[in-house]
Amino acid sequence: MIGYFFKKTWQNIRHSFWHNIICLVATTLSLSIFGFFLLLIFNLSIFLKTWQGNIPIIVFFKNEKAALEAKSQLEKRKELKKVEYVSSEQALKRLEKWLKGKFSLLEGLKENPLFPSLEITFSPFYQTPSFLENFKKNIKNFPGVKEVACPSYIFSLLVTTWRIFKILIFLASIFLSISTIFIISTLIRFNFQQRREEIEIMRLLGANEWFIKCPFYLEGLIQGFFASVISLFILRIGVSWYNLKIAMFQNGFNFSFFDLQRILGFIGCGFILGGFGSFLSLYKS
Amino acid sequence: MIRFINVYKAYHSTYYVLIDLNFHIKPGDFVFLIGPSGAGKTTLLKLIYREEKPTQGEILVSGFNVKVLPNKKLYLLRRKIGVIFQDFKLISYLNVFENIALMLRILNYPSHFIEQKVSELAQRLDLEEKLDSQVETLSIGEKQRVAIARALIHHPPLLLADEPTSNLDLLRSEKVIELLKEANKEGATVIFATHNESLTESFSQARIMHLEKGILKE
Repeated sequence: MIGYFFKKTWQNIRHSFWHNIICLVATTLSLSIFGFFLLLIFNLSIFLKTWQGNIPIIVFFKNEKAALEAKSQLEKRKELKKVEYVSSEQALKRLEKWLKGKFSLLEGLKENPLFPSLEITFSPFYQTPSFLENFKKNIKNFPGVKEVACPSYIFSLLVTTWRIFKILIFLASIFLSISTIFIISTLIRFNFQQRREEIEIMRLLGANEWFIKCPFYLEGLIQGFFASVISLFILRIGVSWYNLKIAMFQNGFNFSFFDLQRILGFIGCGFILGGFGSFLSLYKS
Repeated sequence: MIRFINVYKAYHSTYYVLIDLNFHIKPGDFVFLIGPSGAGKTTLLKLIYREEKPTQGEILVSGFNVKVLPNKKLYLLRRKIGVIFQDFKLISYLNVFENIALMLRILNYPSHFIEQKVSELAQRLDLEEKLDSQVETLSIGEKQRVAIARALIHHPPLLLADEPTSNLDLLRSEKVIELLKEANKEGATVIFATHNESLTESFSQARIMHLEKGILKE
């Protein structure tokens, strides 16, 4: 029976070949845009996670003694991943390295103007803008603290932007999903109408609805499957092209492609959209 | 098997095609439904397999109350009926084999069984050389034989034949009648609608029902 359904589906596709091709192009386009947005979210979350894990708060102290005392106290706290002491000399060396050719800027200095500091990074669970802000307030009360440099504002801004971006992409995804379902359901409805006479004959002979509609459901699923696979292929080529031609030469951010789990999820999504599209078009036929 | 109780059928609310039909056909009966064109023979058959609903009255077929049978369950009734349609109702883009096999596919028979049954029946109806041909390329007589094969292939308990020999020569007409008689011998109830009264001579035991202007006379 399954073999018969596949044969029938293939006949349906062949019968309205160009309609199927046009539908496949439109669905692929829609899914490619959808996939592109998902890829943006995916890469942005990777970027945020990487960046988040390395945000240090830098606490400058008036003298070495105060810095080392604070270090011994802070090291006991589990929410901190690393507390690194940077002496005034080490800080100066870093500055020299950073300035490279512009070393002359430091030549006039009679003594080291830099303060000793502690570079504190947090365990991933505590890397939230509110925790950073509280920690900043708290550490200011430590003895000998001169200044606290904390990127919590930038971090907070980035997190908010990411959240807004996620909502926008979510809304766009809904719109694109609906359009994919609409395209597929239109195709299936069209093919079903074209076969109206044959379907009536089948009904007269005693075919049940499942027997009649199954090839059309399969057609929708196949459309969704191929559209998602082709979209992934297009996106993969796009990512490779971007990494090779743009990111490499212009020092940009390297895009990552979906992992296997997400690839399978995306194909599953294509399947579901295709199946749902055909289900909608045949629901009351 | 079939019971019509005060059945009326009207098109456009005033034009009555069938008027007050009351009859009972028992399982295993062979019935000739005789009447000129336009007498209402096809409509009567349509009422039995519920392509049409009666305007008034009750129709019972194989335990189903046809008038109130929900659309979702219609297939249960229709699977018990083999219909030889006057206009054949073949699927034009399928070949002869697939058209005949369709009924068995609907009933989910395995492929090897379908192949065996189709070739057996095709041989009996002189269609074995046409099995791979597209239906569109067949002559009217050949199409009629394909339609007959499709109706007989699943050995339905009820056979409705709407002018099944109208496009056949004498020899082939006799063959078709033989096939229907055989099905009847095996227990099938047969209703043979025709305008050709002389065909009734071929089967003396058959019951004859005359339909004229929608009124039944036995």
